[in-house]
Amino acid sequence: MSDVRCPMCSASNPEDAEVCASCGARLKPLVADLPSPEGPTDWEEKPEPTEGEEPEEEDWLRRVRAQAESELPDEEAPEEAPEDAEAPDWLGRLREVEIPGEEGPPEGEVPDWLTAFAEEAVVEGEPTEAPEPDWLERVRDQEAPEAEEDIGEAEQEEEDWLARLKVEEEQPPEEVFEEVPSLEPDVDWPTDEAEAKLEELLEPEPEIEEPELAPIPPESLELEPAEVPEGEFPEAEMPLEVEEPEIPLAPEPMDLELPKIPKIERPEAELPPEIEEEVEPRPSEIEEAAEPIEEGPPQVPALIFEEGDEVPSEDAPDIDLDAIELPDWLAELKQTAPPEKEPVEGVPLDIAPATLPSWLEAMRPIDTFRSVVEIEAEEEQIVESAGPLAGLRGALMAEPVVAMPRAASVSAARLEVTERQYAQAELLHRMVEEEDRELPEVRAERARLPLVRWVIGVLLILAVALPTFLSLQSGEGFPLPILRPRDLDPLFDLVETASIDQPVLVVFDYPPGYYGELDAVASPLLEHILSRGLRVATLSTQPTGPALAEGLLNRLSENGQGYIHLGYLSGGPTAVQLFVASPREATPKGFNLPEELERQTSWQSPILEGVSRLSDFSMVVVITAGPESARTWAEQAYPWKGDTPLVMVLSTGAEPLVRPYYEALEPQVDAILTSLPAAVAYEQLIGSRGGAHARWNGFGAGMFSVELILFAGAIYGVAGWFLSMRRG
Amino acid sequence: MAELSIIDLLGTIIAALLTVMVLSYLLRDNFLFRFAVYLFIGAASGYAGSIAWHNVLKPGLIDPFFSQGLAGILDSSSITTLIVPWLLVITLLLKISPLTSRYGGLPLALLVGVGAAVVVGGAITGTLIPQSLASMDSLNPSEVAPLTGETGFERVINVLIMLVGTVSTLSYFRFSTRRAPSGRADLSPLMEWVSIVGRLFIAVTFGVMYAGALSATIVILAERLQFLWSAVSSLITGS
Repeated sequence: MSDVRCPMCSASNPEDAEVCASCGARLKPLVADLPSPEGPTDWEEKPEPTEGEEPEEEDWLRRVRAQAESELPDEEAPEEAPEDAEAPDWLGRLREVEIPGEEGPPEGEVPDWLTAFAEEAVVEGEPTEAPEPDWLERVRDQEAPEAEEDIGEAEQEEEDWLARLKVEEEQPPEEVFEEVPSLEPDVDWPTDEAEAKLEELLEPEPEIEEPELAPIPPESLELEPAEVPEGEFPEAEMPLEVEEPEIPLAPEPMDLELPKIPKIERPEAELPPEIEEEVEPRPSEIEEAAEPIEEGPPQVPALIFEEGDEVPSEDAPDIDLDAIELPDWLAELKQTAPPEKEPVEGVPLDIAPATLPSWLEAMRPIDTFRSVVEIEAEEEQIVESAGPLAGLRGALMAEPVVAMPRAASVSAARLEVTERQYAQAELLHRMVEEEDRELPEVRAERARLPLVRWVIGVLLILAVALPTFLSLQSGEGFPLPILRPRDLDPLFDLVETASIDQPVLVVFDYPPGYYGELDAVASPLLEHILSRGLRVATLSTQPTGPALAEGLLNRLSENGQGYIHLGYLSGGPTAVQLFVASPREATPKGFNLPEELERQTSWQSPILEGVSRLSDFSMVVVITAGPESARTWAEQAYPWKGDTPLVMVLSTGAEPLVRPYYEALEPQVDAILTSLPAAVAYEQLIGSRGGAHARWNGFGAGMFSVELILFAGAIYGVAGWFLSMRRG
Repeated sequence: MAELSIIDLLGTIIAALLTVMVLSYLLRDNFLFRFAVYLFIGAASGYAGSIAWHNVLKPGLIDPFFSQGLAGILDSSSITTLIVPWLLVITLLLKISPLTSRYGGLPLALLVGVGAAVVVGGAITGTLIPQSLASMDSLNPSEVAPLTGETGFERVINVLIMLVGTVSTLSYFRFSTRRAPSGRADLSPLMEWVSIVGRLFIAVTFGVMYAGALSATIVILAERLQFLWSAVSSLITGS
């Protein structure tokens, strides 16, 4: 035969064609050109087998057949194909599994029903010349020389292991299963029943398209090579079909007269659990099929019709036996199978029980072809309530499929997102996540003792109080300032040159908390003013100011004379502006007026005689703790003060913000007295030892301790920074 | 004198106890400290109310009302000095109730408006213009500062420091800039450096202010400890 059949569509093509003219499948593999030391591997490219050639087949099956034929007088001894013989792939793989040196298939890999086949063949002793396919004949032709040499030895080996199988066959089935656990339940049944089972296996095969139910002549086991294409390789899984629950249902469309199915006694204990799960869904079917067999494992349905069976009509069945890739060993067994159904007693079994080989078991595409959709139990399926399928259970629901959310088949317009928008979206996303994030529960920290604060506090208190406790006089502890501040001389000159006919306005604009500082700083100035005989009028924009003024002046003045309190000036900057513009209207009533001014106003005092404007004062002294009050007086009084000097007695912290008013080319502040050193210098200048001197030692010790603490803190910080840098 | 001495003695004891109670904050916040603070707040508020009544309300509103009589009140000269202040005070009191608070808007607007005008006017005329002129001082070494007597290079250096400090500090508060084609709005490198210098001047200023406040606090602490020592000495010696 010069044509080459397409492995895909079985169409005949010229021998030199590389691709199929029908389906376009490649006929010659790309590596076909490479010379192989073992000859071509593609069985389709091999020369057409001549008569007498036998197709290659599995060794052990061939040996079985050879043994069966050897008992026949006219039967030609089977040939043992070499391992490197050209054969279809699946047969080649079958050969590869064979263990070298083994006499036959491994123990347990030959099912009992095959043993029964062999036994029947021996009993009947009918030489069957089954028609073999061409490819098998070609293989046999090639293997004939080599097989003839080993045939004798092979026969001997087959006899040995088959003999062992026979011994095992005589044992109870349970023992056999215990010895050979397998996924495939071994079946031991009569030959006719096995054939029936095989036929049942063939019938439900869904891949069978064209049933060709012509009976296979028993005298010919030859099959056309085209009838065993590659695509039908899965037929090797036929024994596994016993596990498929659909098998018992298949014979119906075949419309065949099948022999009565023997009862199968299913050895449940021998089945692996996964197989039990597959079988369990329909236990009734298995039991029904296994009823005729009293003992033994489940039977495999027959694949080959027996002689004399009625051939089903062509239009009835859905099976095409020609299309079934039936291994020749099965076909041969069928041909050798006797029509009698009862096994002959006393005839030993010549075939070893076999199960599905592990490599073939692994090839089962169970998971691959398992339906993704889990079929619900019938009682759980929904009954269709509308439409032509109303009343049916398990109908596919159209609405859920339609309403099922899925990606749009038509791609929507793509959203153009800029980088900035993406960043903003990310920011929003993080904000939303931050809102949802639960804050970790903050553990209440154990109250720690403020040791650092205690140490610093105690150190400061001791440093400040120690000179007082030791009754150190000024100058005994810390040296008094030698140099006078530069700002002191202009102030001293202002007081010295102030007109004695005009009163001095002293504004007490500080809260009582600054009494300890400003009392010591302002005391030398007020003492100097009072010592010169200048009259003093006090004013305050703070409610507590008049009381502070009374306390200080009462202590400095002699007999409480020479000063008067204008009182509290309410209204802040507005009141200051009103006062500098019209002092008499801004402060109609004084504070703590002397008895002679009872029921009168402070302006009726002789101290304020002739004063109606701000410029009528000889000097304006503002004692303040904050820069705001000083700035208000500097801003509001400057346009109204005329030649009257404005003097600021400041707390130390307010000096930096007031000094610009003093150091300008056109100064708004004419003199500044600030800080305790300046006050001490002023006391020294006027020859007094007042409150500034009394606090000098404490002040010096306190500042020294503060400097030490700051230095220690700086060292600690630098050391910590250096250590952290070294740690990386 | 003996009665006064007892009052002075009690006052000294109370003042010493309150001082210790305030200093007890050194340990931690405690009841004694809070009691002293609440007492000071209450006493200061009561004293301020008393001063306001005696120095402002009574002489400005009550005394003229009773001293001038009905005839004086109806006099035209009393409208601005008596009637208008009374109307403003009454309408301002209407702010107490939410139902009548809107009628107190007029005196409140008058207070805010007049106060803002006074402050802004004083700031412009008393600080902004004079200080701007002061920062543009002459770099002539022969000039002499009128109050401090600085002259020569000392004055020039001070003027330069003042100029650099003023410009750099103002540059630090310049937050507007031109956006680059890349979309970034960064200051130029020169302005960055000027801002850094301004930040340095600000830091030095705040540091000096903090040091001054610390110095003042040490003086106050010294005065309080001296008071306590004198109080204890008085109690012990009886003098």
